[in-house]
Amino acid sequence: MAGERAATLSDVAREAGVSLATASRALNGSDRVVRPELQERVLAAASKLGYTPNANAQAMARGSTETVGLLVKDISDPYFSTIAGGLADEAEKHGLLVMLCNTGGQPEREQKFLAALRRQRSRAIVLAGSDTADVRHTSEVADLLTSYLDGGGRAAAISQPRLPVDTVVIDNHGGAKALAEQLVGLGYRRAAVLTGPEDLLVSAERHAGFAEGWLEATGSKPAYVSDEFSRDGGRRAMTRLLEDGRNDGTEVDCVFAVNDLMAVGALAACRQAGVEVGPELAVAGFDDIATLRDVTPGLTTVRLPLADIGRLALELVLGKPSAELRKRSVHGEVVLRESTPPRS
Amino acid sequence: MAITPGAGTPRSASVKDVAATAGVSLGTVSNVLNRPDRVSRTTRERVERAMADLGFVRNESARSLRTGSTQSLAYVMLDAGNPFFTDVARGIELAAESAGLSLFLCNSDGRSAREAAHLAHLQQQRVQGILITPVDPDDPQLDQLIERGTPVVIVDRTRAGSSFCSVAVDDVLGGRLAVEHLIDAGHKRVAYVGGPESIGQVRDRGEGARQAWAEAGLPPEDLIMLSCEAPTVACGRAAGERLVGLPARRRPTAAFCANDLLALGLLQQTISGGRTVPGDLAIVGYDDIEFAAAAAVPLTSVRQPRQDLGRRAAELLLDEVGDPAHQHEQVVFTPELVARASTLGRP
Repeated sequence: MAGERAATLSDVAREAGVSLATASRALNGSDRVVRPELQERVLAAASKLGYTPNANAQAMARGSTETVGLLVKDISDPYFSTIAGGLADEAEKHGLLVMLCNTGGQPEREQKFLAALRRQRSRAIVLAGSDTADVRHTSEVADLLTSYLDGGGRAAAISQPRLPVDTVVIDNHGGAKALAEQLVGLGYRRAAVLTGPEDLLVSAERHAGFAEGWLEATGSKPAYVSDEFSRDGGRRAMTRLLEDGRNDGTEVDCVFAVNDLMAVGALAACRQAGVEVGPELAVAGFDDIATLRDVTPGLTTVRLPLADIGRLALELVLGKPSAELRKRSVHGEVVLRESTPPRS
Repeated sequence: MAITPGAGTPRSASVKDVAATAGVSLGTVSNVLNRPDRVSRTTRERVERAMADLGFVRNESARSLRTGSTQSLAYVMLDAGNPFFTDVARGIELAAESAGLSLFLCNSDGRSAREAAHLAHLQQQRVQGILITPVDPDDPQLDQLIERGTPVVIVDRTRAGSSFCSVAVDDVLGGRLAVEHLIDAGHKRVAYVGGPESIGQVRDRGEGARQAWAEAGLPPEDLIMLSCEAPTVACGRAAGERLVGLPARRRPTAAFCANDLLALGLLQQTISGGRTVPGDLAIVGYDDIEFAAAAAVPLTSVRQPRQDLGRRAAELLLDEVGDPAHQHEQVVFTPELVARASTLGRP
């Protein structure tokens, strides 16, 4: 092993001239009281030797360390970092630390993190954003979670109703449908949807909700263009949409990007093409990311209470276990801004 | 004192015992432990039953108790909501991944107490090494980590002495680049918007601004130092209101902001007040985060090699973990100015 050996409890006991049991009681607390002068001697010895209790050893004895693992698909996406912030603030109130695991949407990485958290005896795991329609991946994650739960761990998921754990369900369908109805109410008639990959559930749900609302209100289905679920994806999809519209005369008057990041990419594409967002073309997103509240023009979107979603997920994993799987539904709220002015 | 493993303690069940009891190969037991997805459910259940019967300790806590470490690194970051740090994390992740290690991210959220709790926990978990953008680079807890055998690399901060590797960007140079760019464009009155002064980078970028200003022979009172509480979008907006409040002859024609979030807030405030960028106010940010190019008026910014910063930091850490003859290094990256519409061409 590299470097000096870390001090052990035996070292501390020897240094303080007390028994191992007394050292342990002085450091870890116990029903049996340690005389104050002995306690002081043990603490001084521990400090002198730089002793820290080994969390792994403690975890084996106690069954869990005081951490919560949070798996997110992409920590650079403000959607996830805001959820993470809400969860971490709530965790702190319970004396828990959050270990953030960035999966990049890769099943192998997700599995590696789950295994590592299980090994570390993390007290709970929250999964956010691996909601893929890939059945094999979902069942692999479910297996890993099951063995974690068998070992006494607790887990919850955000927006992944297919996993066998308590879940915070985001009403993507309803939020997008409400947005479609409001846009029709503002006078828009020809819509297109910029979607993410088709196997991404969150994107598929928002697309379907918007299409349903639009169809019911106008009798026609919106067009759609698929690309990456990112700013660059939104920019590319919008560029293609503008080109196609010019080529075949099927220009739209309003565009719904299935998340705010794609919407920001769409705004950039419009700027590049010389299309003025608002007066010439309406653009709306979904999520209401705080950083983007400052873009110009202000982006119409569906606001999700992201920090609350993080808090709710933590409440689920810390609350009393229940025999039945629990679902907590979260609804979005349409926020109209300058990017979708009333059509005159 | 030499420690003989296992001496005098009853031998616990081994993988071999489990394999023999379950009637499977060693490889299958190993797969059940490490790659359960490769094993059929019935085989897995048989092996797990054998483990339970024999009292086999299957979790890696036991293994890491023997080796004293787990196969992961951690990055203790200052703000998981700031794209700068998540890009740094991405660079670290790439290097960790190619070394076969997992990377845990711990967000101190700029709070010393939370940072201290994370560091204590990581040390207890025996992670291979820690990368940190510390709240306070001179925090003695960092020295304690090293003394107790956990390698630490300081990211995006520097500290006196050389008991650590560190990776940072030359912020004085960055400040100079920004202000020289504005001087070249003909600005004679410029504001530096930054704060709080307790952040080393805010001071260094301001120092670079002053140096460039002095070298151009411009009067010091025409470089207006506008201090703000935090490097956030909200404070950038507040700074915009204060600039508008200045008497016309004192009002700057350009602003250099200590980071992009401030610059975006200032940009938003300026435009919503009916003034134009760069016509009424040219703006330079710092960091070149992704949103800088996507702003209403694409933002001129000082770009830092964020992923390279993270990657190099992780490489130094891995070297320290693996090489007993490791020498500490202080790596300083050079920033570059990316000129965009917020300072170019007056409409």
